[in-house]
Amino acid sequence: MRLGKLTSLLVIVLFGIGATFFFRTVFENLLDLESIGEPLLWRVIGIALVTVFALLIVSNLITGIATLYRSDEIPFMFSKPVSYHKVYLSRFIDNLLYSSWSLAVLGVPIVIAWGLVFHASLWTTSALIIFGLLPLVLIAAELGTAALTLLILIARWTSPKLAMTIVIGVIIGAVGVVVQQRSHGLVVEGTARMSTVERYLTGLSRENLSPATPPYWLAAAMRAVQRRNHQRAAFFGVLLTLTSLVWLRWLVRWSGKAYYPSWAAFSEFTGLRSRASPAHAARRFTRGWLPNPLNAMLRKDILQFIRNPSQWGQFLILIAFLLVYLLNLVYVSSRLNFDDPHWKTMVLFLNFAFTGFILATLSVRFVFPLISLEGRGFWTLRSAPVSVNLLFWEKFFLAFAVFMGLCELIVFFSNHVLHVTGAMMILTTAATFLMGIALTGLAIGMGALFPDFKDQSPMRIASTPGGVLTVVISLIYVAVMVAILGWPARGYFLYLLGRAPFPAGRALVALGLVLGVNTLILLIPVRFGRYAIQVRDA
Amino acid sequence: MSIGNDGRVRSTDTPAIRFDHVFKRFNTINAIDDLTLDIRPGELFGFLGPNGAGKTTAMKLAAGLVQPTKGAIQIVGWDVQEEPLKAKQIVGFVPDNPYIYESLTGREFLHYCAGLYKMDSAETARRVAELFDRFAIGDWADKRAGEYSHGMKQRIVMASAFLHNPKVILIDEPMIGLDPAGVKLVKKVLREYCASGGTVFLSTHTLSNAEELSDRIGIINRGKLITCGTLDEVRRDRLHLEDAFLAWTNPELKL
Repeated sequence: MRLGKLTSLLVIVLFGIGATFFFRTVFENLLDLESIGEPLLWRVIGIALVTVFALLIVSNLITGIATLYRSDEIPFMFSKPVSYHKVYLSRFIDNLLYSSWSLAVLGVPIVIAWGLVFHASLWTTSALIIFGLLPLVLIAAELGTAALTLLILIARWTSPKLAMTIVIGVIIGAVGVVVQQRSHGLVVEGTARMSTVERYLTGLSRENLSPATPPYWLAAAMRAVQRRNHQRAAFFGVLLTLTSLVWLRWLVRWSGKAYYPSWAAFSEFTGLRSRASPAHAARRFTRGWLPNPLNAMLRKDILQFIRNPSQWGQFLILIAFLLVYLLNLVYVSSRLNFDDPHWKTMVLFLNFAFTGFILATLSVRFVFPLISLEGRGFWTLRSAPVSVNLLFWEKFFLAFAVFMGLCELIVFFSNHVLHVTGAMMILTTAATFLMGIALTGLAIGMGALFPDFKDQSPMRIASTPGGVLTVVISLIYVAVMVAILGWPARGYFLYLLGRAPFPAGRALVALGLVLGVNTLILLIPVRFGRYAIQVRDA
Repeated sequence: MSIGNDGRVRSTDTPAIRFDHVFKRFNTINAIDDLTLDIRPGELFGFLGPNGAGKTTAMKLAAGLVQPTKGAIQIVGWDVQEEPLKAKQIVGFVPDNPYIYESLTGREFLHYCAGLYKMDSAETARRVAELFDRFAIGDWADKRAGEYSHGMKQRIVMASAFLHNPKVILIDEPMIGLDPAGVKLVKKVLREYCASGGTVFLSTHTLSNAEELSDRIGIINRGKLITCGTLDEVRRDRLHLEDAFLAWTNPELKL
């Protein structure tokens, strides 16, 4: 186990180094673009900061359900002579660490890469991380957990349904706002007059973030450092740090007071359920298209997912993000000229990479914890005449069916929107299918190799060293797949333009590499994972 | 006599449970140290021992939840490690900590268990109704397990162990959390089960229950089976089982 943690740490460090160089390359390439490079870079940084900030808020809200309200530790802590504020603070810190650390870790390479590009000193970069990035993460956590406490209190004062309606309304509203924003996007017609282009460039340079938001403060601090205006940078750093600390004090005071009543109310909510009829319950587990025990296992897993708000809640939010992405894709494709093979290839593979990223994220968040979520109920399966193989493959096919359906829909829809047909359509669809199999197998296998049967929070299970290792391997795998497939795809586009022969050789080599990589990624974790479960004492 | 799918002949004298020189080591600790024990069909065997003696480990070895370091465990002739599916098909297991999936109702949990044992829907419905009646589950059947008390979870888990008409029941600390009516009910169920030919391997701290129920008793201490026999054989010349238990498990005290 210690070796596993050390390996995970080493992989994270290597990933951090790789990510730093990746972002540095991206930033340098953007800066190389004449006239629009620097404003475009700042626009990208602004969007990235807002996205990370929003994700952190949502992440803290969702994981807060398990950490602040469902954890078995809480009744124990409340039974001791410890103030509710202290209990709240300890749970808040726990929640912050679990839900935010991975995004914080990703943020560090971005800031370091930025520092390298703009030749910031080590002290300045470190100060930006400590007094900029970390307070941003803390503020997001404060907003997320405060929102959760408020929602539960609203549910207590009115009804859980109203609270759920508010959440869904906020999600729809946020999607609507984002869709509305994209109409002021960065697109100028190729035949536009010079004055239009100038107006566009001016608009690009204008700040796209609200000055009242923490992401703006961090972006402003970074800009100030770039311009060697250390006073201004210090101002925003102090602003972020003080805001995070003051809000923390306020949060502990207010939410700490409301914590016990909200926890008590939440405990009562879990008793309010609609009752399924006995006959319906019987049909669920003993009849179906599939034979038992497979049918029973699948139905149980589906029911557990549906009845766990933190599970389907996160899933819905992810779907919302996907919808925003697809809507943006429709908008962009209607304004850009995709006859240019260079742009077409780039956008196609960016889309393919994004789909791979989605698959990787979904597989770690939802598939990796599947074996662990059997948890204390594992004895039921292990004492029954159910083979480990069946347990494994049941989890695999359940996850695969759901995620493949989702991802093939994304690929099909986005290919249609991007006017991709023929060989490229087949290539991306088939490649997504292969990625789905490999990533699902990787997540299941790694989940069996690094299980955490004690925790019942999928988010926390996914945040363990094993989960982190799985994320890193998944992302590296997606990058490798994009690189392998990009090579013959570029050759194909050149062939279409008549500039090169048909890349048969490249295609064959790429096919071999793809099959080899996917076989390794699927079989090795599955094999070792199955063995780990077989020899594990329940 | 019966012939298994492997072609081996199984005598009706085949023990219901056999521990054959079983060792189980966790790191440096011998949880089970050369356990050799046969439990006959139709017998209610009481397995006693102080805390940490190895009772639960022995139970889990028989249920196939734990792999032995050395030795073999057989359930009606089926090796639990070599032929786990066949062995587990005829075993019902009640763990010491009765955890049920909290988002499932008691009824759903039983139907789920029935599915794991490949029972058909008609048989499942009949058995579930029967067991709910037998274990006095009542209205709790359709409430989620997250709302259950420990005692109700215990009843549901016990019902799940009997669902598929097993030949052997492995039961670890069955009375914990049960009210007096529940304790009486469990005792009645176990007695009736043995009378109909079933075998019970019962692990308990409560000596009075072991005294009342068991055909034979085994006492384990520090992984070793230190005595085994009928109540009279274990008690020897002592009046109470408690005195005998303390004497067996603390020989240095010369009780």
